[in-house]
Amino acid sequence: MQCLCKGGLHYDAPSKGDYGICRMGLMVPESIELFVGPSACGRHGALGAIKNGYKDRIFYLYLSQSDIVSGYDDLIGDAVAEVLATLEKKPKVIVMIFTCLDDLIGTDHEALKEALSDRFPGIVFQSSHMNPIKTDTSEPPAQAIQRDIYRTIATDFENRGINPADIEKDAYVNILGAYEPLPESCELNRIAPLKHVTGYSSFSDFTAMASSRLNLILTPLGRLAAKDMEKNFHIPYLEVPVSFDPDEISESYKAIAQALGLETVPDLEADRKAAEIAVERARALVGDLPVIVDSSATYHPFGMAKALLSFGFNVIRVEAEAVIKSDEDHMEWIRAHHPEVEFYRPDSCEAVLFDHRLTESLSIGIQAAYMAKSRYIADMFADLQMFGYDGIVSLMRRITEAYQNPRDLKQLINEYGLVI
Amino acid sequence: MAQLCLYLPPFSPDYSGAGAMLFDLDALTVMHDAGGCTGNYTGHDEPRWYDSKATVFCSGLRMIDAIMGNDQKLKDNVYAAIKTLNPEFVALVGSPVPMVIGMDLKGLAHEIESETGIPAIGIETTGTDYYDAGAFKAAKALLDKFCPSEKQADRTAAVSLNSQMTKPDTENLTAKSTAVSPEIQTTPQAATYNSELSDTLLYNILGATPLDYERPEDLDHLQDVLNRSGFSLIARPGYGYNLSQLRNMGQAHVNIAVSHAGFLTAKYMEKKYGIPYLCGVPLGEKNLTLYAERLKEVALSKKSEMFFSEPFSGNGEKKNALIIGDQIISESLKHYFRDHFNVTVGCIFTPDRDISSSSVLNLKNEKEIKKALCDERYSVLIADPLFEKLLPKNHKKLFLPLPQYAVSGDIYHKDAKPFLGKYFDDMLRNSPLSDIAGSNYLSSIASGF
Repeated sequence: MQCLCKGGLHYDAPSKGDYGICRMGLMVPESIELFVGPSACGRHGALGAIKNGYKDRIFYLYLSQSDIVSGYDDLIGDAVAEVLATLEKKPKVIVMIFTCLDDLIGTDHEALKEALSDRFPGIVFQSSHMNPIKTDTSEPPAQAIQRDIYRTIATDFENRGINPADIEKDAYVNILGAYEPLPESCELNRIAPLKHVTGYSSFSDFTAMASSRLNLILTPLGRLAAKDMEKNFHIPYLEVPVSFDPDEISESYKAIAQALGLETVPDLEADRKAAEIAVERARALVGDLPVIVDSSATYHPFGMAKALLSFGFNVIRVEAEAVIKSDEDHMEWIRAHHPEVEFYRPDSCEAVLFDHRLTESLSIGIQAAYMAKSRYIADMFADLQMFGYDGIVSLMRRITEAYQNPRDLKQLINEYGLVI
Repeated sequence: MAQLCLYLPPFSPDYSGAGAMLFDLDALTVMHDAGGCTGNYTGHDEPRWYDSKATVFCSGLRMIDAIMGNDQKLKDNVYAAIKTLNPEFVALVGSPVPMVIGMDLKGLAHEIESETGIPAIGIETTGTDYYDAGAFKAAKALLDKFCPSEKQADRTAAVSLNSQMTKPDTENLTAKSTAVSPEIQTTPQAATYNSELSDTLLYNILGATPLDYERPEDLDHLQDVLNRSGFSLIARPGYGYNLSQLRNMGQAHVNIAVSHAGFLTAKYMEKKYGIPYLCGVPLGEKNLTLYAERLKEVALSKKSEMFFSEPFSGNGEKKNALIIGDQIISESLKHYFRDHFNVTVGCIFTPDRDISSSSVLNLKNEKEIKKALCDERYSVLIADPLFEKLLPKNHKKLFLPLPQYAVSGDIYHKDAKPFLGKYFDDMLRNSPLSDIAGSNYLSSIASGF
């Protein structure tokens, strides 16, 4: 069993990656991006943008070595003017993406944004970073960009002289940290109306997310955003990680009910029963087929593995690049109750030996599928569209589909359009 | 100078060129970056990555280590990986952050070599140059380390011996090889050059990486043709070679340079080993024999040549064409079309004044590329399909798409075809030029379409 503590050289399997900072930043409605950095740093984001159809919203200012030495703040205003001149419709927001080296140079971003706001009134400027060099700090880039999405609202309010304290709260609950909204089938929709950043086509409408009564953090990506929104918009937050354990889900709903000030916890027994039926059917179908769970599918792979083991699935391995704090108890539970389950780091240098092949297996997550060359691959990524008992039903449906209709992994990776 | 780019993606950076050059070797290749640079290379610039066992890793550079100059962490991680993977050598590849903090990757490589006895090289790529520059930097570092010239061989052998005598506490780190091969120490190259050339002429193919030649059939075809013409390949670094072949590269009678990276390497090898080169590639079946003959002439005369150096006929009636891409491949295309088009080459990567050619535009940024493409004088364009997006939608120009991985990555992967030698004839027949293709389609081109 491998130590899952971070360290050593990192192996980047072709299955590694996520949405990428640029794609996340563009979730802000009516925004464009100006990427500022060495040309090399923008290549994966630009090719990803072309493949996924949003290249017309990302523009690049490549820096030479002399620009880096002499500073590049003064170049950005003219670049913005040139970009705007090519656009038929003026954007409401310009997200500027800076790279790792900017953290070492010390650009004064507040002064930069002020100068740009003066020169281009009516546009909200946001400085953000694609800086994996800060992955192990209190501001990891994937969390910081999620925070920055909602900071554009705070800047807009500031520009328009709106005091967030004067904004009346509505009945809605924001979903934070998820790339996509929850499906209508999720029972959470029956407890409170939900808002998600992708649900808006105009920036003006998007600012309504500052009026919500509660922020729910579904994945760790939403943590910084929630703290920032509590400070800027006085919205309380609650972290309810995506889970596939019915008891944990029940506890999450109790916490949500309490946070919403509900007198009683909504009756979700029918939803729980539906999940149990889905579990029984899926387990009967796959039988003792070895199952591998990995952290590309869920932020809590040990939690998912614990749930699947409890359901009776033959989980033989959990793959994770690191163990997040909220998943540590699950890992310890597996250690104690299922010592036969292997823990494996797909980004370790040993991974390149490919000595963990297991073709006759079902992988939940593309990283595990790549390392094991699994015949069966459950199409699941980053807890997308997963929550509550509906999440269990969805997971079981994906396991069933994987078993009944084996997918081509290379094609699946390509469809995800991931970047590192 | 900063460049604004509105439509095109950045082209492949120098560290991707270095990675491509190292890919085939049993190297512990460490890209010293935080994650994105390695992802650029493995995810977007290396078509061989999927299902490969290449030992390319990201160092996972973090803020605190960059600020504090904590090189020991990198070294410790390299030592741990050496124990696991037992590579033949270690290659440290640079990225923007090591450039900004002034990291000495060559010095670090020297320390790793001294402390482990395993050869190590540092390649100071920065992410601000293009892949051709990086591929050359890697090729040069590899040649300097593993294929020293006669005088260097003796000196390096002594250094290697000393380093093993003073080896520190790294007993578990087993070197597969010493820095110098026995063959090189006996300097067969000298013997070769002091005698008459044998029937078989030894050669290297330089500058062949998937960033210019996505389809391996190109190099296989070229190699096959030359082998049937009395040549024998030593190595084609970057595209199917190993360390043993690399060590013998200095024994070649002649080199061929098939890209700008290859041209830079060929010039370096000429200076270092006295090996002449033929620069350029054959396009079309009819040029294959000529190419082999020219290569033989170069080997025998020991005088380097450009394959595309023949004077052009000055026919003002010909249509004007613009070719954008690797400069050596573009010049070869220009040579192929010399009787039919007035060709201008658009250089978008590292410009090189040593490539003597008429009609070269140094297209430094997207604005200049767009201006050239839209220039009414050019009615024929040959370039990566992504460049067509810079033209007006209803343009009337004839566009021959030639996908290049260094430009568009795998976006046009399915359209990428081999194009050297005989394959170029097939490509033309199945291209937008097919309307005028036929038994003498090039004559048709010349007469207008």
